[in-house]
Amino acid sequence: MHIPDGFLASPVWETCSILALTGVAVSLKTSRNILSEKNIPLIGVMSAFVFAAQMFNFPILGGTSGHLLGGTLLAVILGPWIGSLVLSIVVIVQCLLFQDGGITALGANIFNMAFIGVFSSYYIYTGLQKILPDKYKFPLSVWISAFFSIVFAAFCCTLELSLSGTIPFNIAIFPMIGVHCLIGIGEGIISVSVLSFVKKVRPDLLLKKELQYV
Amino acid sequence: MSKKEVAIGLLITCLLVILAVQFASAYPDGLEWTANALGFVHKETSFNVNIMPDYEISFIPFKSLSGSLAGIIGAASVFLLSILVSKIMVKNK
Repeated sequence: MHIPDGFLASPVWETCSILALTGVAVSLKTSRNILSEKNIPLIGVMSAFVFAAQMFNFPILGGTSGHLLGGTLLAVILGPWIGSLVLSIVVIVQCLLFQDGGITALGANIFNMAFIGVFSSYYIYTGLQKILPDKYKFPLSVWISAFFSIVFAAFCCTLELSLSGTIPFNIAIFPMIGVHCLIGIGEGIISVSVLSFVKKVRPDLLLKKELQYV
Repeated sequence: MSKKEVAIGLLITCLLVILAVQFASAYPDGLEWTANALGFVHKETSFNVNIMPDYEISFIPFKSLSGSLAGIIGAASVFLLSILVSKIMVKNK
């Protein structure tokens, strides 16, 4: 859901850019306090992996495709602060090197995908970890948080489009949420597969205490 | 994460890029689909400087080579940039 140039009105993309800039600044400041040298290689590998995974569009119903966003993967492995920074870097590189997402929409894309995507994943995942019964706790909380991270990001995207006067909210909301529910199902399946694999080979990498919310 | 694990991670990443170039769906994504369906796709413009649009390198004729190379350049850029930012953060702790 990379928004191109032309879809957002100036006041909207300007506001989103300020929000994104503030978010990145707070993430940098917080990450600085929780980051240690030994986590750096993991951050590098996760960022490259998410970038590559985002290139892999999978077909969904009726001539549409979706690709992984990776918000849940990053939130569960790197925590929300470093996770949002990493996804911001991915979105910036996609915009500057590959013209995927408009330059004026960069702030909105960072806000929707890197912040809403990662933080909603984090809160839903940690919330569900507390309340779900042990048996299927892990895959269920991963799947649900991945699914809703896409739906929430799509909701913000729709809100920005309608505030821009590009398309009325009540017309855009159903198709946008509908198609992103389908993409969210894929996001959930991929996130559960990747994180279950990580849990199997390196369980210590999942939400290290030190990288969590502080 | 050990050096070996980093190498395995990057190898999986490169493999994923190559597979994505071969097998990724070319259908429009969720937002594009909505823009097409609701008829606001014509509002799309681009103020970006074209470097590797559509994850391809324009002067390389073979799509699979050009796409894979572009993807690997992208993954490498993201890798190096996130490590650089992390190093600066740790240094300024």
